[in-house]
Amino acid sequence: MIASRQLAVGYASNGEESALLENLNLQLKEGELVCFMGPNGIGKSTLLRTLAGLQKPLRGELKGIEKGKLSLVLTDRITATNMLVYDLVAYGRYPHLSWNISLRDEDHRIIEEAISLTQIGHLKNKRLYQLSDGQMQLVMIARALAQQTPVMLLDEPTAHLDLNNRVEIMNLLRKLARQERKAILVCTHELDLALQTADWIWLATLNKKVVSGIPEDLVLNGAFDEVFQFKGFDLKTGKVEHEAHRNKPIQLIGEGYPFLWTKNALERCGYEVTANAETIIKIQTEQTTIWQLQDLTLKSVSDLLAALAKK
Amino acid sequence: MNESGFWTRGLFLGFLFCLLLIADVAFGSISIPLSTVLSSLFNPESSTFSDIIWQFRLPKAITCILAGSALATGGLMMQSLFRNPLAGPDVLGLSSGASLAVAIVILIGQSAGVGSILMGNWSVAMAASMGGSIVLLIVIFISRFIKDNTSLLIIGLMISAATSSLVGILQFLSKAEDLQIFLIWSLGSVGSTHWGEVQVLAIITFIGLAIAFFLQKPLNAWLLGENYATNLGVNTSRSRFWIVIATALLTGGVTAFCGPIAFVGLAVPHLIRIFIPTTNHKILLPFVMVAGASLLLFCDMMSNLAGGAQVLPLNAITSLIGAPLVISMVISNKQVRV
Repeated sequence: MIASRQLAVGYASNGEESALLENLNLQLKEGELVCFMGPNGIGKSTLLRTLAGLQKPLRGELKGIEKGKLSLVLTDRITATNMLVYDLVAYGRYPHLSWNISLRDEDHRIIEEAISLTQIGHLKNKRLYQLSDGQMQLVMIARALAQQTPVMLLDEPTAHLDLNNRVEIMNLLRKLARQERKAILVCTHELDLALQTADWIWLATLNKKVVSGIPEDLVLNGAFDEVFQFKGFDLKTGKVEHEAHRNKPIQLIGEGYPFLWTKNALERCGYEVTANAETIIKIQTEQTTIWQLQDLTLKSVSDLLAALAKK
Repeated sequence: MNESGFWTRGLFLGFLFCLLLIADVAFGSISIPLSTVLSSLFNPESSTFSDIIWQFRLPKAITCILAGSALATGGLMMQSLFRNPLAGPDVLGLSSGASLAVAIVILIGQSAGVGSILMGNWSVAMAASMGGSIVLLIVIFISRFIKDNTSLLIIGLMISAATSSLVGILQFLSKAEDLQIFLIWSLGSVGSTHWGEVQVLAIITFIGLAIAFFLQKPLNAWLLGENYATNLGVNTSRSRFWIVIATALLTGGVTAFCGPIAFVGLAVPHLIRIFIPTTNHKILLPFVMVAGASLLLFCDMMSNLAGGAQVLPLNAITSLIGAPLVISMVISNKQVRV
């Protein structure tokens, strides 16, 4: 749907060009959710604005960004907070309306459809100042949907949202890509969510390039590590690295979630969990979960940690 | 709010407007009985009352209607374009430009001895429109080089500040009599217009209001900011140009014939947004026009009634009535929203 060839984006002022990202050969295809990632200030929003036609590319070719093919969800705040949710979604129909902006039945139907796809029917008659940040993003996505464009570009739609809302938004975008066959590009910092929902990742690197690939390949070939230079986070296990500062190896026997979270607690507190060690903890999960440390029987992880600390 | 809510409130406002129009014609330093007002309106025979109505009260009332709707519409457009509740029709610096030109004519022209030729309504109006137009040209010229509205707003305010200080210098150097003439002009007045001037003002105002009416789609789109407006297919630079032109016509016309009338342009859009909570200019524009006309009719009536035999300056009344009105409505609604 959108394809770029040797595209360079950035700013030109006083005849001097400063490119943020160069030599971009990227593709955005229908039915695909692409997450665009990279550190702050590397030029993600600039590329998005260029794709959206809001600023001119410095060099290169850009195909498929004709007028009316793209809808946007930006980080720009809507200051007219007295506006009705329905009226804001109705803005999506503006490209199809004449000067006197009268909505036809067809427009109302499309607006209602966008509202039901984003499940914001209960917000229809609210005013913007009554919405939470998460609800506001859903309304902005509904507005973009009402434009009925094959391509949607979103700039950090999950910023400032709690985990639940972040998951809701990403799942919605994924659903829209699949069901409505839209090409969706999302700038985001949500590494874990992007890895689990994106069909494709664009990764802005430190040498002004954009690497693209499916999430798993980029994890395994170390592209993410190179860009983000994680400090104490192991992307391959998805966990924060702990230092086993107590120098006390522990063997943990058990299964399922109790095993996982007991291991988490032990590593967090500086114990090393290994296959063979003198100290052995057994987890038994019959009616209730109990932890056995030598002759002690403990009823919670915190009791277990306290017992370990005493020894 | 649903459609019927708009209609009821529209009818209410329309009724209020008619009432104020009749009251403004009837009341003044001489009160005219209501029956006489109506009979001389429909049957203009020559009598003292009829002459007062046709030669004085009616042109004044129509000037109020034109100026009120023009300023309120200009204020609404500026608040939407700049997404700023503090913007008014004078933020582009037009009224200050007009003031400077009028100050030059009155303060310098008078002492140079050409005062008697230059004085009179038309010359002041000509000077005011020239001053306003020059500032408008500067603003349009500069707006071609800047991309965002905030810069335009700042430039407008800077031009205002610069011209005001020039006016200040002129005032400092002038004679007391000239100063008083200028001061009276700068306090605003709707009472000095005759039919010929009303006609010109009406033409300018109708053109400005018509342009504003055709701009309802871009005005709505500007509420979302430039990026979204562009994405929604609105030509932002063209619509900004026409919004500036329409506001300039409306403010410039009024300033030329009535002086710089304060407050109406800033206050009326806020009052209307509280009266009918909508952000849609399709509804806002007609409401703001009628409300602006009504408020100025009311202020004019008060300025004639409150001072007894003296007619109080219009600007004093608009602010005195408008400010408490807006403050109370804002307090009861907790927050100002554009």
